[in-house]
Amino acid sequence: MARKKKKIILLLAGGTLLLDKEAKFLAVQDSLDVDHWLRQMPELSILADIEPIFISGEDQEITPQIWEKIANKISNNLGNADGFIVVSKTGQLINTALVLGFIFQNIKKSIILTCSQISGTDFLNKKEKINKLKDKHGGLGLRSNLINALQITDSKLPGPAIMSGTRLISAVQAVKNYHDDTNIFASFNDAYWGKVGFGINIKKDLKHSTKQFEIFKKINSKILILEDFPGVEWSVDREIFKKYQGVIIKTSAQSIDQNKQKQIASWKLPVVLYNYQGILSIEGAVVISGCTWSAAVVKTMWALANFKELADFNKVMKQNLIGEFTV
Amino acid sequence: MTISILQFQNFSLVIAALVNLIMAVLIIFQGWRNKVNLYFSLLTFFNFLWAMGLFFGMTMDGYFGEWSAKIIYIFAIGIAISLLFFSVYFPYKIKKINPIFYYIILMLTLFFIFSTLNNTLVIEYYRDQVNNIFYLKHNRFLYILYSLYFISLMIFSIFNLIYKYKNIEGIFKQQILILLMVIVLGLIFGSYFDLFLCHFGIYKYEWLGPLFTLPMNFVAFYLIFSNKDKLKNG
Repeated sequence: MARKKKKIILLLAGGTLLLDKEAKFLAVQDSLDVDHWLRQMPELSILADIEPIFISGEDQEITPQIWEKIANKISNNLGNADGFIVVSKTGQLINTALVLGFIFQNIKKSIILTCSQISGTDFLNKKEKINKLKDKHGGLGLRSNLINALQITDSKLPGPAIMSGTRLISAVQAVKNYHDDTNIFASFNDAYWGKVGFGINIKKDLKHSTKQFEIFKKINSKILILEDFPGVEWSVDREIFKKYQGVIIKTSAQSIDQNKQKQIASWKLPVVLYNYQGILSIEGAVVISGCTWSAAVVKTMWALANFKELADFNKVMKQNLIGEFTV
Repeated sequence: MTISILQFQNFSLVIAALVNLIMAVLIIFQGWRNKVNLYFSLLTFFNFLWAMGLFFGMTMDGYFGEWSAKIIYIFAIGIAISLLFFSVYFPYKIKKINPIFYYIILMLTLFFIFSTLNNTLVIEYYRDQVNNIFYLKHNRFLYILYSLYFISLMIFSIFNLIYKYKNIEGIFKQQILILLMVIVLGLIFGSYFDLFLCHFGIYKYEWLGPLFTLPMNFVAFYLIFSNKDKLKNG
Protein backbone atom coordinates (compact mmCIF):
# COMPACT_ATOMS: atom_id res chain seq x y z
CA MET A 1 0.00 0.00 0.00
CA ALA A 2 1.49 3.38 -1.03
CA ARG A 3 2.35 5.71 1.82
CA LYS A 4 -0.08 8.60 2.07
CA LYS A 5 1.54 11.92 1.16
CA LYS A 6 1.52 14.61 3.78
CA LYS A 7 -0.83 17.53 3.13
CA ILE A 8 0.85 20.90 3.16
CA ILE A 9 -0.84 24.28 2.91
CA LEU A 10 1.35 26.65 0.93
CA LEU A 11 0.53 30.30 1.63
CA LEU A 12 1.84 32.80 -0.89
CA ALA A 13 2.46 36.37 0.27
CA GLY A 14 5.25 37.60 -1.98
CA GLY A 15 8.81 36.27 -2.12
CA THR A 16 7.73 34.02 -4.98
CA LEU A 17 10.18 35.15 -7.65
CA LEU A 18 11.79 32.34 -9.62
CA LEU A 19 13.18 31.58 -13.06
CA ASP A 20 10.99 29.48 -15.33
CA LYS A 21 12.28 26.89 -17.83
CA GLU A 22 13.03 29.66 -20.38
CA ALA A 23 15.01 31.56 -17.73
CA LYS A 24 12.31 34.24 -17.51
CA PHE A 25 11.24 35.72 -14.19
CA LEU A 26 7.99 34.53 -12.78
CA ALA A 27 6.19 35.70 -9.66
CA VAL A 28 2.74 35.33 -8.17
CA GLN A 29 0.97 38.68 -8.45
CA ASP A 30 -2.57 37.38 -8.12
CA SER A 31 -4.39 34.11 -7.60
CA LEU A 32 -4.49 33.36 -11.33
CA ASP A 33 -0.69 33.07 -11.41
CA VAL A 34 -0.52 30.32 -8.81
CA ASP A 35 -1.06 27.27 -11.03
CA HIS A 36 1.44 28.33 -13.67
CA TRP A 37 3.95 29.19 -10.94
CA LEU A 38 3.53 25.80 -9.29
CA ARG A 39 3.95 24.00 -12.62
CA GLN A 40 7.54 25.29 -12.71
CA MET A 41 8.28 23.05 -9.71
CA PRO A 42 6.65 19.67 -10.44
CA GLU A 43 8.89 17.99 -7.86
CA LEU A 44 6.94 19.68 -5.07
CA SER A 45 3.92 17.49 -5.78
CA ILE A 46 6.10 14.36 -5.47
CA LEU A 47 7.14 15.38 -1.99
CA ALA A 48 3.71 16.34 -0.68
CA ASP A 49 0.08 17.00 -1.47
CA ILE A 50 0.19 20.79 -1.81
CA GLU A 51 -2.75 23.12 -1.43
CA PRO A 52 -1.72 26.64 -2.45
CA ILE A 53 -3.50 29.65 -1.01
CA PHE A 54 -2.91 33.10 -2.45
CA ILE A 55 -2.58 35.81 0.21
CA SER A 56 -0.93 38.80 -1.47
CA GLY A 57 0.97 39.66 -4.63
CA GLU A 58 4.71 39.94 -5.10
CA ASP A 59 4.68 43.73 -5.11
CA GLN A 60 2.20 44.21 -2.27
CA GLU A 61 3.44 45.52 1.05
CA ILE A 62 3.20 43.14 3.98
CA THR A 63 0.88 44.78 6.49
CA PRO A 64 -0.72 43.59 9.72
CA GLN A 65 -3.87 42.89 7.67
CA ILE A 66 -1.83 40.44 5.55
CA TRP A 67 -0.49 38.83 8.71
CA GLU A 68 -3.99 38.44 10.06
CA LYS A 69 -5.10 36.92 6.75
CA ILE A 70 -2.25 34.38 6.93
CA ALA A 71 -3.15 33.59 10.51
CA ASN A 72 -6.80 33.05 9.62
CA LYS A 73 -5.92 30.67 6.81
CA ILE A 74 -3.63 28.67 9.07
CA SER A 75 -6.23 28.62 11.82
CA ASN A 76 -8.96 27.43 9.40
CA ASN A 77 -6.77 24.59 8.13
CA LEU A 78 -5.26 23.33 11.37
CA GLY A 79 -7.43 20.26 11.35
CA ASN A 80 -6.73 19.09 7.82
CA ALA A 81 -3.10 19.99 7.14
CA ASP A 82 0.07 18.26 8.29
CA GLY A 83 2.07 21.46 8.08
CA PHE A 84 2.23 24.96 6.68
CA ILE A 85 4.70 26.75 4.46
CA VAL A 86 4.51 30.51 4.14
CA VAL A 87 6.33 32.16 1.26
CA SER A 88 6.78 35.83 1.94
CA LYS A 89 8.92 38.79 1.04
CA THR A 90 12.57 38.65 2.05
CA GLY A 91 12.56 41.97 3.88
CA GLN A 92 9.58 41.04 6.04
CA LEU A 93 10.12 37.30 6.48
CA ILE A 94 11.50 37.53 10.00
CA ASN A 95 8.65 39.77 11.18
CA THR A 96 6.09 37.50 9.53
CA ALA A 97 7.63 34.47 11.26
CA LEU A 98 7.61 36.26 14.62
CA VAL A 99 4.01 37.38 14.22
CA LEU A 100 2.96 33.79 13.53
CA GLY A 101 5.01 32.64 16.53
CA PHE A 102 3.15 35.00 18.88
CA ILE A 103 -0.23 34.32 17.30
CA PHE A 104 0.09 30.52 17.37
CA GLN A 105 1.72 29.81 20.69
CA ASN A 106 2.87 26.22 21.31
CA ILE A 107 1.43 25.03 18.01
CA LYS A 108 1.93 21.31 17.39
CA LYS A 109 2.26 21.61 13.61
CA SER A 110 5.16 23.02 11.68
CA ILE A 111 5.04 26.48 10.21
CA ILE A 112 8.02 26.99 7.93
CA LEU A 113 8.68 30.32 6.26
CA THR A 114 10.81 30.79 3.20
CA CYS A 115 11.39 33.11 0.28
CA SER A 116 13.25 33.76 -2.90
CA GLN A 117 16.61 35.54 -2.56
CA ILE A 118 15.04 38.51 -4.32
CA SER A 119 11.63 40.02 -3.63
CA GLY A 120 9.56 42.40 -5.71
CA THR A 121 9.59 42.82 -9.47
CA ASP A 122 11.48 46.13 -9.52
CA PHE A 123 14.72 44.77 -10.95
CA LEU A 124 16.41 48.09 -11.56
CA ASN A 125 18.77 47.97 -8.60
CA LYS A 126 19.04 44.22 -8.42
CA LYS A 127 20.50 43.25 -11.81
CA GLU A 128 23.98 42.54 -10.51
CA LYS A 129 22.74 40.43 -7.66
CA ILE A 130 20.31 38.53 -9.88
CA ASN A 131 23.02 37.73 -12.42
CA LYS A 132 25.35 36.58 -9.67
CA LEU A 133 22.68 34.26 -8.29
CA LYS A 134 21.89 32.90 -11.74
CA ASP A 135 25.55 32.16 -12.46
CA LYS A 136 26.37 30.66 -9.10
CA HIS A 137 23.18 28.83 -8.21
CA GLY A 138 21.23 28.56 -11.44
CA GLY A 139 18.30 30.44 -9.97
CA LEU A 140 17.01 32.60 -7.15
CA GLY A 141 17.00 29.91 -4.50
CA LEU A 142 13.27 29.56 -4.02
CA ARG A 143 12.97 26.10 -5.55
CA SER A 144 15.57 24.55 -3.25
CA ASN A 145 14.21 26.47 -0.25
CA LEU A 146 10.71 25.15 -0.90
CA ILE A 147 11.94 21.61 -1.36
CA ASN A 148 13.91 21.73 1.87
CA ALA A 149 10.92 23.27 3.66
CA LEU A 150 8.65 20.48 2.36
CA GLN A 151 11.05 17.81 3.53
CA ILE A 152 10.99 19.09 7.09
CA THR A 153 7.35 19.98 7.56
CA ASP A 154 6.70 16.69 9.31
CA SER A 155 9.45 17.36 11.84
CA LYS A 156 8.06 18.52 15.18
CA LEU A 157 9.46 22.01 15.60
CA PRO A 158 8.94 24.10 18.75
CA GLY A 159 7.68 27.09 16.74
CA PRO A 160 7.76 28.80 13.36
CA ALA A 161 11.09 28.63 11.61
CA ILE A 162 12.76 30.11 8.56
CA MET A 163 14.20 27.76 5.95
CA SER A 164 16.65 29.53 3.69
CA GLY A 165 19.87 28.43 2.01
CA THR A 166 21.47 25.79 4.19
CA ARG A 167 19.79 26.87 7.43
CA LEU A 168 16.70 26.23 9.47
CA ILE A 169 16.43 29.07 11.97
CA SER A 170 13.98 29.65 14.78
CA ALA A 171 11.90 32.78 14.14
CA VAL A 172 12.96 34.30 17.46
CA GLN A 173 16.65 33.94 16.65
CA ALA A 174 16.64 34.99 13.01
CA VAL A 175 18.44 38.10 11.79
CA LYS A 176 19.29 39.27 8.30
CA ASN A 177 22.70 38.25 7.00
CA TYR A 178 24.15 40.70 4.51
CA HIS A 179 27.48 38.92 4.03
CA ASP A 180 26.40 35.77 2.25
CA ASP A 181 24.32 35.32 -0.88
CA THR A 182 23.52 31.68 -0.06
CA ASN A 183 22.38 32.24 3.51
CA ILE A 184 20.55 35.56 3.67
CA PHE A 185 19.42 34.81 7.24
CA ALA A 186 21.46 33.85 10.27
CA SER A 187 20.86 33.09 13.92
CA PHE A 188 21.85 35.98 16.18
CA ASN A 189 23.27 33.55 18.76
CA ASP A 190 24.68 31.08 16.25
CA ALA A 191 22.18 28.35 17.11
CA TYR A 192 20.34 26.55 14.33
CA TRP A 193 17.50 24.07 14.41
CA GLY A 194 18.66 22.40 11.25
CA LYS A 195 21.16 22.56 8.46
CA VAL A 196 21.40 21.33 4.91
CA GLY A 197 24.66 19.62 4.11
CA PHE A 198 24.57 16.06 2.98
CA GLY A 199 20.86 15.71 3.36
CA ILE A 200 18.89 17.73 5.89
CA ASN A 201 19.77 17.39 9.55
CA ILE A 202 17.35 18.59 12.18
CA LYS A 203 18.54 18.89 15.77
CA LYS A 204 17.38 15.75 17.55
CA ASP A 205 16.18 17.02 20.94
CA LEU A 206 14.64 20.39 20.28
CA LYS A 207 12.97 21.77 23.42
CA HIS A 208 9.21 21.92 23.12
CA SER A 209 6.98 23.87 25.44
CA THR A 210 4.61 21.88 27.61
CA LYS A 211 2.05 24.70 27.63
CA GLN A 212 -1.32 24.50 25.93
CA PHE A 213 -1.73 25.59 22.35
CA GLU A 214 -3.26 29.07 22.18
CA ILE A 215 -4.22 31.35 19.32
CA PHE A 216 -4.11 35.14 19.60
CA LYS A 217 -5.19 36.39 16.22
CA LYS A 218 -4.89 40.13 16.66
CA ILE A 219 -1.92 42.32 15.86
CA ASN A 220 -1.71 46.05 16.38
CA SER A 221 0.17 48.24 13.95
CA LYS A 222 -0.36 51.52 15.79
CA ILE A 223 2.97 51.64 17.55
CA LEU A 224 5.55 54.36 17.36
CA ILE A 225 9.11 53.10 16.95
CA LEU A 226 11.86 55.40 18.22
CA GLU A 227 15.59 55.08 18.39
CA ASP A 228 17.30 56.83 21.29
CA PHE A 229 20.84 58.20 21.06
CA PRO A 230 22.42 58.94 24.44
CA GLY A 231 23.07 62.64 24.83
CA VAL A 232 20.64 63.61 22.09
CA GLU A 233 17.48 65.23 23.41
CA TRP A 234 14.08 64.07 22.30
CA SER A 235 11.95 66.60 20.53
CA VAL A 236 8.65 64.89 19.97
CA ASP A 237 5.38 66.67 19.26
CA ARG A 238 2.75 65.34 21.66
CA GLU A 239 0.16 65.39 18.89
CA ILE A 240 1.95 62.46 17.28
CA PHE A 241 1.00 60.18 20.13
CA LYS A 242 -2.70 60.56 19.38
CA LYS A 243 -2.18 58.33 16.37
CA TYR A 244 -0.50 55.54 18.32
CA GLN A 245 -1.47 53.06 20.99
CA GLY A 246 2.01 52.24 22.19
CA VAL A 247 5.66 53.18 21.87
CA ILE A 248 8.82 51.10 21.63
CA ILE A 249 12.22 52.75 22.07
CA LYS A 250 15.51 51.17 21.12
CA THR A 251 18.46 52.52 23.03
CA SER A 252 22.13 51.74 23.22
CA ALA A 253 22.36 53.24 26.73
CA GLN A 254 21.85 51.19 29.83
CA SER A 255 19.87 53.91 31.51
CA ILE A 256 17.59 56.73 30.44
CA ASP A 257 18.14 60.26 31.78
CA GLN A 258 15.57 61.96 34.02
CA ASN A 259 14.37 64.34 31.35
CA LYS A 260 13.55 61.52 28.97
CA GLN A 261 11.92 59.55 31.75
CA LYS A 262 9.60 62.51 32.44
CA GLN A 263 8.69 62.66 28.78
CA ILE A 264 7.86 58.95 28.77
CA ALA A 265 5.59 59.43 31.79
CA SER A 266 3.78 62.31 30.08
CA TRP A 267 2.81 60.28 27.00
CA LYS A 268 0.37 58.13 28.97
CA LEU A 269 0.86 55.20 26.64
CA PRO A 270 2.31 51.71 27.08
CA VAL A 271 6.04 52.14 26.49
CA VAL A 272 8.66 49.47 25.91
CA LEU A 273 12.35 50.23 26.34
CA TYR A 274 14.72 47.87 24.54
CA ASN A 275 18.43 47.33 24.82
CA TYR A 276 19.74 43.89 23.88
CA GLN A 277 22.32 43.86 26.67
CA GLY A 278 20.14 45.21 29.44
CA ILE A 279 18.74 48.48 30.76
CA LEU A 280 17.82 49.88 34.17
CA SER A 281 14.12 49.83 35.00
CA ILE A 282 12.23 53.09 34.94
CA GLU A 283 8.72 54.09 35.91
CA GLY A 284 6.20 54.28 33.16
CA ALA A 285 7.89 51.80 30.84
CA VAL A 286 8.61 48.12 30.66
CA VAL A 287 12.23 47.30 29.89
CA ILE A 288 13.22 44.25 27.89
CA SER A 289 16.52 42.80 26.78
CA GLY A 290 18.01 39.53 25.60
CA CYS A 291 15.94 39.19 22.45
CA THR A 292 16.27 40.45 18.90
CA TRP A 293 14.98 43.92 18.05
CA SER A 294 12.50 42.38 15.60
CA ALA A 295 11.15 40.12 18.35
CA ALA A 296 10.80 43.12 20.67
CA VAL A 297 8.85 45.12 18.09
CA VAL A 298 6.57 42.29 17.03
CA LYS A 299 5.91 41.26 20.61
CA THR A 300 4.94 44.85 21.44
CA MET A 301 2.52 44.91 18.49
CA TRP A 302 1.02 41.58 19.55
CA ALA A 303 0.79 42.40 23.27
CA LEU A 304 -0.86 45.79 22.59
CA ALA A 305 -3.55 44.07 20.51
CA ASN A 306 -4.31 41.31 22.98
CA PHE A 307 -3.80 42.92 26.42
CA LYS A 308 -5.66 46.18 26.96
CA GLU A 309 -4.83 46.60 30.64
CA LEU A 310 -1.43 48.18 31.18
CA ALA A 311 -0.56 45.82 34.03
CA ASP A 312 -1.31 42.78 31.83
CA PHE A 313 0.63 44.31 28.96
CA ASN A 314 3.69 44.93 31.16
CA LYS A 315 3.49 41.45 32.64
CA VAL A 316 3.25 39.64 29.32
CA MET A 317 6.08 41.70 27.82
CA LYS A 318 8.41 40.35 30.52
CA GLN A 319 7.34 36.72 30.05
CA ASN A 320 9.35 34.37 27.86
CA LEU A 321 6.43 33.19 25.74
CA ILE A 322 7.98 31.54 22.68
CA GLY A 323 11.66 31.42 23.58
CA GLU A 324 12.24 35.01 22.46
CA PHE A 325 14.44 35.71 25.47
CA THR A 326 17.58 33.66 25.07
CA VAL A 327 19.78 35.53 27.52
CA MET B 1 44.51 -21.58 6.50
CA THR B 2 47.39 -19.14 6.17
CA ILE B 3 47.50 -15.43 5.73
CA SER B 4 50.36 -14.08 3.58
CA ILE B 5 52.42 -11.10 4.66
CA LEU B 6 50.52 -7.82 3.93
CA GLN B 7 51.85 -6.25 0.81
CA PHE B 8 51.12 -2.74 -0.33
CA GLN B 9 47.99 -3.70 -2.26
CA ASN B 10 46.58 -5.54 0.72
CA PHE B 11 47.29 -2.60 2.98
CA SER B 12 45.54 -0.29 0.50
CA LEU B 13 42.51 -2.55 0.41
CA VAL B 14 42.24 -2.56 4.18
CA ILE B 15 42.53 1.23 4.33
CA ALA B 16 39.90 1.66 1.60
CA ALA B 17 37.63 -0.78 3.46
CA LEU B 18 38.06 1.00 6.78
CA VAL B 19 37.41 4.46 5.32
CA ASN B 20 34.20 3.18 3.74
CA LEU B 21 33.11 1.49 6.96
CA ILE B 22 33.74 4.62 9.01
CA MET B 23 31.79 6.69 6.49
CA ALA B 24 28.91 4.19 6.54
CA VAL B 25 28.65 4.42 10.33
CA LEU B 26 29.11 8.21 10.36
CA ILE B 27 26.37 8.78 7.84
CA ILE B 28 23.87 6.38 9.34
CA PHE B 29 24.28 8.24 12.62
CA GLN B 30 23.27 11.45 10.86
CA GLY B 31 19.80 9.90 10.72
CA TRP B 32 18.87 6.64 9.04
CA ARG B 33 15.27 7.72 8.36
CA ASN B 34 16.60 10.18 5.82
CA LYS B 35 16.78 8.13 2.62
CA VAL B 36 19.79 10.06 1.37
CA ASN B 37 21.73 9.03 4.45
CA LEU B 38 20.39 5.48 4.33
CA TYR B 39 21.36 4.74 0.73
CA PHE B 40 24.71 6.47 0.88
CA SER B 41 25.50 4.55 4.04
CA LEU B 42 24.56 1.31 2.28
CA LEU B 43 26.70 2.30 -0.68
CA THR B 44 29.77 2.82 1.47
CA PHE B 45 29.01 -0.31 3.48
CA PHE B 46 28.95 -2.42 0.31
CA ASN B 47 32.21 -0.71 -0.73
CA PHE B 48 33.65 -1.90 2.57
CA LEU B 49 32.43 -5.47 1.95
CA TRP B 50 33.77 -5.41 -1.60
CA ALA B 51 37.20 -4.23 -0.48
CA MET B 52 37.35 -6.79 2.32
CA GLY B 53 36.17 -9.53 -0.02
CA LEU B 54 39.03 -8.70 -2.38
CA PHE B 55 41.45 -8.62 0.53
CA PHE B 56 40.44 -12.03 1.84
CA GLY B 57 40.29 -13.46 -1.66
CA MET B 58 43.90 -12.40 -2.22
CA THR B 59 45.29 -13.32 1.17
CA MET B 60 43.37 -16.31 2.50
CA ASP B 61 43.74 -19.89 1.40
CA GLY B 62 41.07 -22.50 1.06
CA TYR B 63 37.34 -22.25 1.26
CA PHE B 64 37.19 -18.82 2.92
CA GLY B 65 39.45 -17.21 0.35
CA GLU B 66 37.53 -18.78 -2.51
CA TRP B 67 34.16 -17.62 -1.24
CA SER B 68 35.45 -14.15 -0.49
CA ALA B 69 36.62 -13.87 -4.09
CA LYS B 70 33.25 -15.02 -5.43
CA ILE B 71 30.94 -13.11 -3.13
CA ILE B 72 32.35 -9.73 -4.20
CA TYR B 73 30.08 -9.98 -7.24
CA ILE B 74 27.06 -9.79 -4.94
CA PHE B 75 28.59 -6.87 -3.04
CA ALA B 76 29.25 -5.07 -6.32
CA ILE B 77 25.56 -5.31 -7.22
CA GLY B 78 24.82 -3.97 -3.74
CA ILE B 79 27.03 -1.00 -4.57
CA ALA B 80 25.26 -0.37 -7.86
CA ILE B 81 21.76 -0.64 -6.38
CA SER B 82 22.58 1.56 -3.39
CA LEU B 83 24.03 4.14 -5.74
CA LEU B 84 20.92 3.97 -7.91
CA PHE B 85 18.60 4.62 -4.97
CA PHE B 86 20.91 7.31 -3.67
CA SER B 87 20.73 9.05 -7.05
CA VAL B 88 16.91 8.85 -6.89
CA TYR B 89 16.72 10.49 -3.47
CA PHE B 90 19.69 12.86 -3.48
CA PRO B 91 19.14 15.68 -2.81
CA TYR B 92 15.42 15.04 -3.29
CA LYS B 93 13.17 12.89 -5.44
CA ILE B 94 12.12 14.65 -8.62
CA LYS B 95 10.43 11.83 -10.48
CA LYS B 96 8.18 8.97 -9.58
CA ILE B 97 9.80 5.64 -10.43
CA ASN B 98 7.66 3.00 -12.09
CA PRO B 99 7.25 0.03 -9.68
CA ILE B 100 7.94 -2.35 -12.59
CA PHE B 101 11.47 -0.99 -12.66
CA TYR B 102 11.94 -2.04 -9.03
CA TYR B 103 10.66 -5.55 -9.79
CA ILE B 104 13.06 -5.92 -12.72
CA ILE B 105 15.98 -4.90 -10.52
CA LEU B 106 14.85 -7.29 -7.82
CA MET B 107 14.54 -10.23 -10.24
CA LEU B 108 17.89 -9.63 -11.88
CA THR B 109 19.61 -9.14 -8.54
CA LEU B 110 18.16 -12.35 -7.15
CA PHE B 111 19.21 -14.14 -10.33
CA PHE B 112 22.84 -13.03 -9.97
CA ILE B 113 22.90 -13.77 -6.25
CA PHE B 114 21.68 -17.25 -7.00
CA SER B 115 24.20 -17.65 -9.84
CA THR B 116 27.04 -16.61 -7.56
CA LEU B 117 26.02 -18.82 -4.67
CA ASN B 118 25.57 -21.96 -6.76
CA ASN B 119 28.86 -21.50 -8.64
CA THR B 120 27.24 -20.78 -11.99
CA LEU B 121 28.72 -17.29 -12.49
CA VAL B 122 32.17 -18.19 -11.15
CA ILE B 123 33.14 -21.70 -12.09
CA GLU B 124 36.72 -21.94 -10.80
CA TYR B 125 38.99 -20.16 -8.36
CA TYR B 126 42.75 -20.25 -8.16
CA ARG B 127 45.01 -18.28 -5.84
CA ASP B 128 48.60 -17.39 -6.76
CA GLN B 129 50.22 -17.27 -3.30
CA VAL B 130 53.50 -15.88 -4.58
CA ASN B 131 52.02 -12.83 -6.33
CA ASN B 132 49.04 -12.42 -4.03
CA ILE B 133 46.48 -12.58 -6.80
CA PHE B 134 43.50 -14.77 -7.37
CA TYR B 135 42.18 -15.92 -10.73
CA LEU B 136 38.60 -16.77 -11.58
CA LYS B 137 37.07 -18.62 -14.43
CA HIS B 138 33.59 -17.34 -15.29
CA ASN B 139 30.69 -18.60 -17.29
CA ARG B 140 31.39 -16.24 -20.20
CA PHE B 141 27.80 -15.54 -21.11
CA LEU B 142 26.69 -14.93 -17.53
CA TYR B 143 29.70 -12.73 -16.87
CA ILE B 144 28.86 -10.52 -19.85
CA LEU B 145 25.25 -10.35 -18.68
CA TYR B 146 26.39 -9.49 -15.17
CA SER B 147 28.71 -6.76 -16.46
CA LEU B 148 25.94 -5.26 -18.59
CA TYR B 149 23.57 -5.28 -15.63
CA PHE B 150 26.13 -3.64 -13.35
CA ILE B 151 27.11 -0.97 -15.88
CA SER B 152 23.43 -0.27 -16.68
CA LEU B 153 22.66 0.37 -13.02
CA MET B 154 25.63 2.71 -12.76
CA ILE B 155 24.68 4.55 -15.94
CA PHE B 156 21.08 5.01 -14.72
CA SER B 157 22.47 6.52 -11.53
CA ILE B 158 24.72 8.89 -13.39
CA PHE B 159 21.93 9.95 -15.75
CA ASN B 160 19.73 10.65 -12.70
CA LEU B 161 22.39 12.88 -11.23
CA ILE B 162 23.08 14.65 -14.53
CA TYR B 163 19.36 15.30 -15.01
CA LYS B 164 19.12 16.70 -11.50
CA TYR B 165 22.20 18.85 -12.02
CA LYS B 166 20.62 20.42 -15.10
CA ASN B 167 17.27 21.06 -13.44
CA ILE B 168 18.22 21.98 -9.93
CA GLU B 169 19.17 25.31 -8.47
CA GLY B 170 20.76 26.67 -5.34
CA ILE B 171 23.16 24.89 -3.04
CA PHE B 172 22.28 21.48 -4.46
CA LYS B 173 23.80 22.28 -7.84
CA GLN B 174 27.34 22.39 -6.53
CA GLN B 175 26.82 19.33 -4.35
CA ILE B 176 25.57 17.22 -7.23
CA LEU B 177 28.40 18.35 -9.49
CA ILE B 178 31.10 17.38 -7.00
CA LEU B 179 29.48 14.03 -6.22
CA LEU B 180 28.91 13.32 -9.91
CA MET B 181 32.60 13.82 -10.67
CA VAL B 182 33.82 11.47 -7.96
CA ILE B 183 31.16 8.85 -8.72
CA VAL B 184 32.09 8.84 -12.41
CA LEU B 185 35.75 8.56 -11.41
CA GLY B 186 34.95 5.58 -9.18
CA LEU B 187 32.81 3.96 -11.87
CA ILE B 188 35.35 4.31 -14.66
CA PHE B 189 38.36 3.05 -12.76
CA GLY B 190 36.47 0.53 -10.62
CA SER B 191 34.88 -1.01 -13.71
CA TYR B 192 38.11 -0.93 -15.67
CA PHE B 193 40.26 -2.72 -13.06
CA ASP B 194 37.62 -5.02 -11.58
CA LEU B 195 35.34 -5.86 -14.51
CA PHE B 196 36.88 -5.05 -17.88
CA LEU B 197 40.43 -6.35 -17.27
CA CYS B 198 39.04 -9.45 -15.58
CA HIS B 199 37.29 -10.30 -18.86
CA PHE B 200 40.75 -10.77 -20.31
CA GLY B 201 42.05 -12.73 -17.33
CA ILE B 202 44.05 -9.81 -15.92
CA TYR B 203 43.49 -9.90 -12.16
CA LYS B 204 46.62 -8.32 -10.80
CA TYR B 205 45.12 -4.79 -10.71
CA GLU B 206 41.86 -5.75 -8.98
CA TRP B 207 43.08 -4.22 -5.72
CA LEU B 208 43.05 -0.74 -7.31
CA GLY B 209 39.25 -0.60 -7.75
CA PRO B 210 38.32 0.11 -4.10
CA LEU B 211 40.85 2.94 -3.92
CA PHE B 212 38.67 4.93 -6.29
CA THR B 213 35.85 4.92 -3.74
CA LEU B 214 37.97 7.15 -1.51
CA PRO B 215 37.34 10.45 -3.37
CA MET B 216 33.59 9.88 -2.99
CA ASN B 217 34.04 9.37 0.75
CA PHE B 218 36.14 12.50 1.08
CA VAL B 219 33.52 14.54 -0.77
CA ALA B 220 30.73 13.20 1.47
CA PHE B 221 32.86 13.99 4.51
CA TYR B 222 33.41 17.51 3.19
CA LEU B 223 29.70 18.05 2.49
CA ILE B 224 28.77 16.93 5.99
CA PHE B 225 31.41 18.82 7.93
CA SER B 226 32.00 21.92 5.83
CA ASN B 227 28.77 23.41 7.15
CA LYS B 228 29.96 24.79 10.46
CA ASP B 229 26.55 25.92 11.69
CA LYS B 230 25.88 24.55 15.16
CA LEU B 231 22.66 22.69 15.83
CA LYS B 232 21.35 23.74 19.22
CA ASN B 233 18.23 24.96 20.93
CA GLY B 234 19.58 28.46 21.37
